[in-house]
Amino acid sequence: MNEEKQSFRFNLEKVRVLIFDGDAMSTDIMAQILSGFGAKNISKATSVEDAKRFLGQGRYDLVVIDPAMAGPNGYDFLPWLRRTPGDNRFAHVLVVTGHTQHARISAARDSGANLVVAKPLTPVVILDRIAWMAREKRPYVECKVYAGPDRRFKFDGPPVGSEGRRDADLPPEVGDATEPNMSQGDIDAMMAPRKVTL
Amino acid sequence: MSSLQRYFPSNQLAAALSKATPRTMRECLNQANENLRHIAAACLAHVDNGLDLLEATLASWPDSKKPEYLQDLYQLSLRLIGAGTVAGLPHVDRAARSLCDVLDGLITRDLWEKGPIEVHVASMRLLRDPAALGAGAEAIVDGLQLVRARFAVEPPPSPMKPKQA
Repeated sequence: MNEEKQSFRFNLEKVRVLIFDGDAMSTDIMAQILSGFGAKNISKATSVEDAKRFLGQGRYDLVVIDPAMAGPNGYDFLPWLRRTPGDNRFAHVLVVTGHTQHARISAARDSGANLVVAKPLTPVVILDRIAWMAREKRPYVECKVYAGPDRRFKFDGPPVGSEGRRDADLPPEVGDATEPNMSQGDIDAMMAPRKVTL
Repeated sequence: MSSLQRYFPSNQLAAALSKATPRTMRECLNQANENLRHIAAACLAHVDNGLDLLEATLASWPDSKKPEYLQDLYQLSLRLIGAGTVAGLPHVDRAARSLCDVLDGLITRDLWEKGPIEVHVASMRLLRDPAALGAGAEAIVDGLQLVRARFAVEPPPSPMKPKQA
């Protein structure tokens, strides 16, 4: 991590966190990392019942879950969270997984996770992902088959080969220009490297 | 068009972060790494316990095909991933992940083979003591990758990638 990023300010002391993992050691590893980031309000759930009880008691800003270790119903928990009325349905959800098989990543995404992180967990990766979630502006969408953050990270339009399902989807054909061409100076200004402050 | 509702809830995580007393990222990372050092011994015990369980389970290999037996081995291997790195045994983590890939492949393809599992568990036992292996640890993990390649289920190609001409 470069010097500029390391000077970025960060503290989880006001963030309410729920860690839901059936494995005590994994829970401890995550809790140690988050407490190192300043987190003081950390709830640890080892079963779906525990997790639901905690969520019923108050608002959480961040939910960290390993669905594979959260029992046989681990992957059902996220859709439940996303569809249950209340503030927690909009909570940021970080899914951690030891085994990153394709089906698991897809299942996590389609259950309503904001991000998926592969184990082994390292502080620098967790911090980077939490900071990313704090900056993200994806809308929350709800339809018959899905509830959660918009799964399109990049707004590149509908998937290749499909016509799109949303009224905001643009047709794949590029139409005529509606504005004058950009000058070379404008283009150069866009391409010029700039110092970014996070 | 399917019916879809879109919400723009306030980012509670960002709001909570903005209320906190600022600390630099460097401070956060140093403290988190320090905290992990405190639980390194517990992680090592977790790895030892996991290896013992894997070996004991493998010793009672059933006479006939039992998918749930492979699932048990998969769960045991899955529990090891992560703890190895904190305990200073990253090669054990890689071997455990490779074993998960192999077990997933066996389960998915409905195969029943002891050899690839056995070689992984025996290798993990060797990797538990990296000082004795030296550079050999990397070679062992490379060898496991060859075994993994024979049994793992590879993900389907992404539909988003354009086809090669």
